[in-house]
Amino acid sequence: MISNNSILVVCGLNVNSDEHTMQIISKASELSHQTKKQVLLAVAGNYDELRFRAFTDCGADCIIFWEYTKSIGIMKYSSFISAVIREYSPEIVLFPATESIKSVAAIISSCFEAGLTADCIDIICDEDNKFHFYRAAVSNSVIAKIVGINSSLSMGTVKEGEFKKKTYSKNDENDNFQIMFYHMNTDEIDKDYLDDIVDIKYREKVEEKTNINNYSIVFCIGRGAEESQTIEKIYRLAEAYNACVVGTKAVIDDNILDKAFQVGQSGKSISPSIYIGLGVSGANQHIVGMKNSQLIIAVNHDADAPIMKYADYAIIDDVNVFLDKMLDMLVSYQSE
Amino acid sequence: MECTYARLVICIKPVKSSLMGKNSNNLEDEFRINPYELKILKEIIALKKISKLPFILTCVSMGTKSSESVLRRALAMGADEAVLISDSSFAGSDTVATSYILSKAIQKLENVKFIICGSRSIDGETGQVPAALSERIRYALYTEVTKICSFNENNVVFLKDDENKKVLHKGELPAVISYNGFQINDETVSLMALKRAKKKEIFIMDKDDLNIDVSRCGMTGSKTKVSEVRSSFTKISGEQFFGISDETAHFLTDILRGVHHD
Ligand SMILES: Cc1cc2nc3c(=O)[nH]c(=O)nc-3n(C[C@H](O)[C@H](O)[C@H](O)COP(=O)(O)OP(=O)(O)OC[C@H]3O[C@@H](n4cnc5c(N)ncnc54)[C@H](O)[C@@H]3O)c2cc1C
Repeated sequence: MISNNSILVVCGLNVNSDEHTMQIISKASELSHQTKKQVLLAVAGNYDELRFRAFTDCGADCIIFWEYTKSIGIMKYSSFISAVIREYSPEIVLFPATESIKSVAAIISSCFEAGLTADCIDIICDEDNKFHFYRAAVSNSVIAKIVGINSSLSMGTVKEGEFKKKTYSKNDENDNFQIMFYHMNTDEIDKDYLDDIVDIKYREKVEEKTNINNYSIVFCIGRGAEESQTIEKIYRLAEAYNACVVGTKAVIDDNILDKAFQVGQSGKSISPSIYIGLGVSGANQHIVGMKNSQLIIAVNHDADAPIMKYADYAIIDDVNVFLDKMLDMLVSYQSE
Repeated sequence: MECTYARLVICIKPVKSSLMGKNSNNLEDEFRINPYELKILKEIIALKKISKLPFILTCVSMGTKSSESVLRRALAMGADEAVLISDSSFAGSDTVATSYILSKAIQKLENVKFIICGSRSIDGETGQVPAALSERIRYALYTEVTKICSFNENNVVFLKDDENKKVLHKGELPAVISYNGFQINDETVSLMALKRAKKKEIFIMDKDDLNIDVSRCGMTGSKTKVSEVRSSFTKISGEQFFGISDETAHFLTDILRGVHHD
């Protein structure tokens, strides 16, 4: 029996995103224990019992399955999800924030005039059994708590890795494995857009680049440390401490470092033990990529630079003066 | 608005200049073109110049009167016409309400073949508007597009570029494209171009022009509400050092060497 007001999780479009889907099911299951609501999972494609069992092991109470062996694009999948929502009236719908499913979520939100919170970092249910979504707004470094209004349905997308996958051991193998075959009439299925692939160029496999996440100490070059003699000093110091040298977007754009070394919103996220920012101003787009560093040291001649607010140790000085001093110190240690 | 040529619309989100930090060279304007739309606008203007395709490039923004400067700049860069969707009842719209209002404006503009939106904005950054809009006006949707190569009456050829491959697609029109690319630096426009742009009219559309149901706009029409905001990651316990003294350098060197002080 499927009750209304359940928690509906939308499965990713292909098996590559199953881990991601299972993370969301696990979160939904946690919410269901608290609220006594059912967790439904909507899946389309080929029948695959092992796959479905993995989903139920993470806490899906019922799988609503549309067997469809042809290729499924955004529009077809949206018509299936819409039909499921109409039939089972869930209270919230959670989507994995993959490229195509993000579009599906936005389309469904238009169809049902339902509120949609993008990239949730947490979902809670309050005493009044109302769901709240949390999301981080990069631009002003705040976390917003969002609640659905004027609609009986609220929805959220979740990025990969936001929640942990959990499996629940079941005593009885057959217990809790419930699957509903969903039948779609052909006239209900929206046509996917014609979109022909004209050409594909695979990038040459570049040899395994330095992975900036493998270092426990990271030196970050900012626009205030771009002079060649400054950079030379940074590399000398970094080498001595087996540290990786990364940069801000400004530095990457000036072709000083390769894109693989960019830290921030449009680059990589790092969480080293020690991050040292040299001539980095600390724009929000940069901070999101390094805020999880255990210890943040910032060197900037401007005491009001935003990065100083995030630093454990803020050194207000010229980068060259700082580097010279640190190199001297190194020499005196080495000669000890 | 009548139009014999096909229209290409770029939806420009005005974003607060202060968010652009040091990259902004005209801080006197309160709003700027969102960096995603800035890049595609520049590319489309260049494409228009070389292809000599007869189409009208229309820039559409939703915002208060003070975001006119954003459209003025778009005109100076080479857009043909500019439309500002502005009404006090639109303030505070979330994606559901915004996509509704935009869809009304697109319907008002005739012969729109093709709409481009940045894949996110640097302030709201939800990235849902393009898909929500495509659903409302029933246009095809192409997302994560990194370059628009060419287009004609019926098709658009575009590139999707990811870490291991570049894929060239051909898609049918009419369509909404969500463009993923941005530039952080301003475009410099000549004073002449700015002067010329000042003479051009910016069409204003309000709730009456759009024949809109105000209960579906602004805060009233929104389906989400921010109930609480908290600052996420400022450190409170940080320590400041004015100048790098021997003592400080010693201290930091010890940390780097893994000798911990408490
Ligand atoms: C959509 C978007 C995405 C972005 N993504 C990223 C991203 O992924 N990563 C990223 O880093 N940025 C990103 N940015 C750019 C970001 O907004 C900033 O422009 C960038 O981080 C600034 O780099 P910076 O700190 O090196 O330079 P600046 O902001 O120019 O700062 C230089 C700093 O150096 C200091 N300084 C100068 N000279 C000296 C000296 N001699 N001694 C000491 N200090 C000195 C100055 O006081 C200043 O604080 C993005 C922007 C946008 C719009």
